[in-house]
Amino acid sequence: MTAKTLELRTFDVDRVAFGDRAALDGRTLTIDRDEVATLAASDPAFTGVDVILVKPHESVRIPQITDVVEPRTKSGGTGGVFPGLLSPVEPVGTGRTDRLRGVAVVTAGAVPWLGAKGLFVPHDSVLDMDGPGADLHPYADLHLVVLRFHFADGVDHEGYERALLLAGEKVARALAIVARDAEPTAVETRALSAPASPLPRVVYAYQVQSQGVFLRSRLYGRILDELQPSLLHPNELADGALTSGGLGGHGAKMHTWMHQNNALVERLMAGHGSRWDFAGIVLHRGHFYIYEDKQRVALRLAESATLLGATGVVFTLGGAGNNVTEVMLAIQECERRGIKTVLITWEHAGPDGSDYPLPFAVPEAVAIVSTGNLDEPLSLPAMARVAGDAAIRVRPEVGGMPFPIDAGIELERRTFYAGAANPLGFGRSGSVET
Amino acid sequence: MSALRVVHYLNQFFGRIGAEEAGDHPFTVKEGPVGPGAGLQKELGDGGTVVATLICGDNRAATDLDAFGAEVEKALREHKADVLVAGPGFNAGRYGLACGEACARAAAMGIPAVTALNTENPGLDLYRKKTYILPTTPTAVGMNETLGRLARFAVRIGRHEEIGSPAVEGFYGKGVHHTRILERPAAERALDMLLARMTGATFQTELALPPVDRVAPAAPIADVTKARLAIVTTGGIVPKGNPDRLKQSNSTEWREYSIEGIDGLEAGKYESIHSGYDASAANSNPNYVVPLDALRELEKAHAFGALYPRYIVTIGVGTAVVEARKMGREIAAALKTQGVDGVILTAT
Repeated sequence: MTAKTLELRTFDVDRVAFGDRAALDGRTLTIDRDEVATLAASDPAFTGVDVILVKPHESVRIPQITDVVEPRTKSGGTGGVFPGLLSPVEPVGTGRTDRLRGVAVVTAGAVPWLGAKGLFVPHDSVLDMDGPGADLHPYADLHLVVLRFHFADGVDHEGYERALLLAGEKVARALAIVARDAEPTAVETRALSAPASPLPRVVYAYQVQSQGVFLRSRLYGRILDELQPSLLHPNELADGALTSGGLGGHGAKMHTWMHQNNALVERLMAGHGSRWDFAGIVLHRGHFYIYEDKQRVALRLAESATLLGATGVVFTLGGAGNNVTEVMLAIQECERRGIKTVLITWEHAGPDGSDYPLPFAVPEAVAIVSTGNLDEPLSLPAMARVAGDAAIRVRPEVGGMPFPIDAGIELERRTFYAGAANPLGFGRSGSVET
Repeated sequence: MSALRVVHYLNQFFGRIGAEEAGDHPFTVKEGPVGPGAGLQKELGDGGTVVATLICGDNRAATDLDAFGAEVEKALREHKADVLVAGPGFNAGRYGLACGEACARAAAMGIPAVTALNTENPGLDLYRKKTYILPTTPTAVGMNETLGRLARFAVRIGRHEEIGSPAVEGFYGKGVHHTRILERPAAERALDMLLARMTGATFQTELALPPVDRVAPAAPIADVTKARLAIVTTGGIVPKGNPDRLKQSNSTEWREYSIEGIDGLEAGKYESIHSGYDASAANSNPNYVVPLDALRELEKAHAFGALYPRYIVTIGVGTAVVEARKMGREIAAALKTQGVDGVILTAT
């Protein structure tokens, strides 16, 4: 059996501009605005789209983000990027993949609420490219191609969701295709070959959130609302087998970009064969309504880790709330089997930071990395411009209230701020106790 | 370095005045160490001298903490205290309050102070934001070991040495967490921690989770056929339009709504504003969350005595534990005064 091997070609981009044809010249990416707009807004769910370029650390506030996608395409091997969505369901993670580093496509816009309330609305968020907010998400160093959509009437939320998902992925793939004949900045071969000497074996327990049309994840195009723990090769992530979805988002949302570039997976691959033996990923979902379902997830996770010969398991959270229970029960089961665990989590420590930080805990959870308190208020200065509406919608329980964002803003909690939870450990945020 | 002037606080029992019968013993100051103060002095060694011992009956202190605190302040000034050590107070409730109050007063005067309380002591949560509190055993079995830690800590704070984080220094800390941008990404910190664990090296968690509160169930109702029952829900069912503008999450309030004379919650007249579950089923039939229809049938069949004429609602999502505890106490107290014997609690 040969190990699954992927040649990942990176093309660095440090300038993005509109021009009359799509091209990558050196590190300058030229985008044909009309071509991108036509490709993005071809679905009848849209009446149009604004294509807005944002520079790294530019004083810009981006509201109402649904997804962020890194431009990638396959230039060799079986399958295509975003299998099950843009490409057939075929094996991915082998052959050759091209990626544009330093640029990302953002899908955004005020998704109609259609009378929805509570959790089940497209939650509005903001993201700043400059100021203190720029430290809280992984996108401040990137050029962003923001697609701000305008939505047609007579379409339901499922229609909007699918249209946004495919639009972001299509544009991302189209941008990457122009790199095909260019000279890559870096070429990396990725495989999980068995290391020469015995090293501690690490499994990554990767939790995703999938709870309907507003909070959704997909694997090879399949919606993960009923996902049971499932093995995944890191190279499958590289080709977009795991995608974000859902309309709008909150501070804990994991965008497709985060799956493509997962901070833990990148480091696990970098240390594979020298510091540890990366045994693979177990993808799973939380938020099951029944306790026995949570126990089933925990058992399957621990059993998978055991079969993979894990010495240790690192856990991250998909979403906020009772999904912590599945992870905690899995930590308990792993530790009982002698498998060491570490959890990356944000805290719900209340506005003043003194509340019990998580909704559920087990005594076996003794090694935790905190990414900070999501309930802590956040003051953000005015940005020079807003790449979208001058107000977002908050308080869906009372039918929505406008919250102006074109001046300095005081966020009551960080849940409105895209990426603030730092769910996959990209950022340097942490928690300091006094 | 000259020896620090240490003042020690004890209750009537450890201060050798008497047991519970001496609980009203007035505030007294004695020169030098008393009782456990001898052990404290031994542990302090050359670092400090117990110059005075403050003693007060537990009842006396706890029933008028203001007056007690004023006496503490006066004594600290008179004895030119460099540092105050209180207790250890173990799991003794009133003693814990007095230790906490004494230390809080000292700290407010700029005099470093430390006490030791067991994790169950109610003084811990009341005073941890105002003073250093070290952990200790529930009873005096851990006295000697605790005095050693108290003495070492007292010398360090008395000399105004830099004190690190609670996890490293072994005190309870204020329990207040602040978000900061640290030096390294969280993913890197996590994998270093995991590698340390896998190779048996030492590691330091960034977040220590105290044990989750376990609530013992109340005794069963002796005769449910005579009992008055109330419905309490965290499921966010409110009259249509949310007249009291309750928040969809992070709730701090609860409300009562009348169910007098109605046999079920009608769809369209009530709705869920809860932001943590799909409300469509609840909106199509609010009785799924507030089971008024079923309870009315049971009431008519005399399965229980009577239903309290209002249901109580809050929104159980993202709610701070401290707020949940406060609301729980308020709701229980309110229902108790209304002669309610039992509650049907519905979550979502």
